[in-house]
Amino acid sequence: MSDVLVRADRVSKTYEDGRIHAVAEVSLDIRRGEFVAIMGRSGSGKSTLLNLLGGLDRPSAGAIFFEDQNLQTYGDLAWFRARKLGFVFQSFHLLPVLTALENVQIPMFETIRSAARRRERASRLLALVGMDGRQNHLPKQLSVGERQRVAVARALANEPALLLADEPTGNLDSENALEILRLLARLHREQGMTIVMVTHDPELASFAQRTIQMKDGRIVA
Amino acid sequence: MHLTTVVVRNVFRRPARSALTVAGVSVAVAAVVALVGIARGFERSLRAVYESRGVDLMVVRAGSTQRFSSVLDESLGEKIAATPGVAEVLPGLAEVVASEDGDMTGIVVQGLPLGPGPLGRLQIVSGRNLQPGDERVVLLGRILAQGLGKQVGDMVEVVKGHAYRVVGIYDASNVFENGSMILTLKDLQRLMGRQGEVTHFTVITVPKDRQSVEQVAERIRALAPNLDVLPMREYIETSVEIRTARAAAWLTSTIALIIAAIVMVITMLTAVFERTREFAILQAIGWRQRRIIQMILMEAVLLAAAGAVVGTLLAILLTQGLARLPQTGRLVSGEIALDVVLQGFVLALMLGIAGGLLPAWRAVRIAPTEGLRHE
Repeated sequence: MSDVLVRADRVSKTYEDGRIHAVAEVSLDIRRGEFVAIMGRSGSGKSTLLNLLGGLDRPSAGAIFFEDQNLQTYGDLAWFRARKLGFVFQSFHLLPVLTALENVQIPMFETIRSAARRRERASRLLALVGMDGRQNHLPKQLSVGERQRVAVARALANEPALLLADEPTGNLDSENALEILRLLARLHREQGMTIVMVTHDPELASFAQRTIQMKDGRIVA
Repeated sequence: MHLTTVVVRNVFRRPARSALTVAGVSVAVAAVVALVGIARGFERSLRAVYESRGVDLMVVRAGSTQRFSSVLDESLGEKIAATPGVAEVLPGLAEVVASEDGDMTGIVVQGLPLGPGPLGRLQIVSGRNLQPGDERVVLLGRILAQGLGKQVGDMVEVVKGHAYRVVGIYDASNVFENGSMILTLKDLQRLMGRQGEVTHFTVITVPKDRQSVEQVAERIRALAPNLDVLPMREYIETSVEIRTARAAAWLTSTIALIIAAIVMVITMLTAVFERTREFAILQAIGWRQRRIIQMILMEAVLLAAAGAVVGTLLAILLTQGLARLPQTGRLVSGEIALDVVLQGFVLALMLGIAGGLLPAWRAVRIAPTEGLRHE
């Protein structure tokens, strides 16, 4: 197995008939077990790059290789996302009508047939992120920091090869932000999780092993 | 957790909107079940009138599927009686009148011959049956008597200016007969100025197997030109009254169904639009479009099923109420056949799927990256 988990090869993404270059000819390797931070101002194309790496969007030019396979060759990117990726969003995006335990089970619908096994694994994941006492709480009954932990547990639902986090602390106060970063760092350290995180906060980026700077859709450092 | 858990929680997330959808569907289902049920019940009780008498064939003037417009010569009865295979033949005159007494229209008046036939078999619950020598007297069906507020001994205006004395009240096994009145054939012919005329003959045959009945029918047809000789079931199913009732029921139901479908699509579309970002999230974390469509369709079907239950209950209440009202009681039996209820459920199911498809398609049409930006 190659050491490189994801490779972006001269990837571009253009919107509105080619006028706006969100991402322009970006080449990038993410190795297994790496914790990478992508930094840049808003509009620099960092979120677009993250979406391309995660197969949420298809590039206008160039190619993304995941475990040496071109993402273009996947007919159904949902299949790929369900099994290989975990997403953590800035606004948590938990389903408001489901409890913490139920939210974590959502991605498992695609991979685990047994409802009992889904429940058991979700329970284990909530314990992993330190939320075992609040499994049956609805998102609105949880603090914002707790909600993001549940979202992290949900991202880990199908034992992904890559965890993508888009401004995971953007809606958190500094204390909760540090808590989430410590959690991500622990997953990286203890589980060997490969993590790519978008942030504009240099302090948070310092948790990563490597920082990529983006400007106007290009990697500048 | 199963997918159904997610579906049920989503439906209860907006109780007011879900209630609106359920209400829309339930009105449509109630209309279908009540109206079609009433039309069917009417047909059933009409059939019961003749089945209880063992009638096999109905002889009317050709082309007059509306019983009241048929005109036959009473003397034809003797020829029919002489036909091989005919066990009994009875003339009948049916007219429709309006009564100003109880503000009721469309009351059926039957003229029946005295004797052991259908008249002799009537169950009299109050007063007495018609007798030889009776003139200007009438029997009322139980429901009609109630509607008109008449008792034995009271006078009823059968036709304006012609008051008849009620001598008895009968109870037949069906609303159709219980909502009509009976005079002797002679009396009714005189009253209507139709001496020597009848609207139909009812024929009982021996033996009663299909082939023999058809043979007898063939022989009767040969007796006179322009005769329609129909097996009882066919006669009732093709009668204008039944076909009109059925058509009216389906017409009204179709309108109700279209309105329900529109309510369904609008409420579901609103719900789906509000949840655009949620569907984008589900796709981002790996849900296939199929599963999202399945979830939305299940939500729609659940709402439709709830509508079907509420609608059926409404229909039962409605028909029970109509059966008790004097104006409608003689047409509505208040019973709804199970297959009509099933029909209502099947239609609701189709409403759910049809109403959910467009919103479901709309939900997965949006790319996840686009949906994620949706506020």
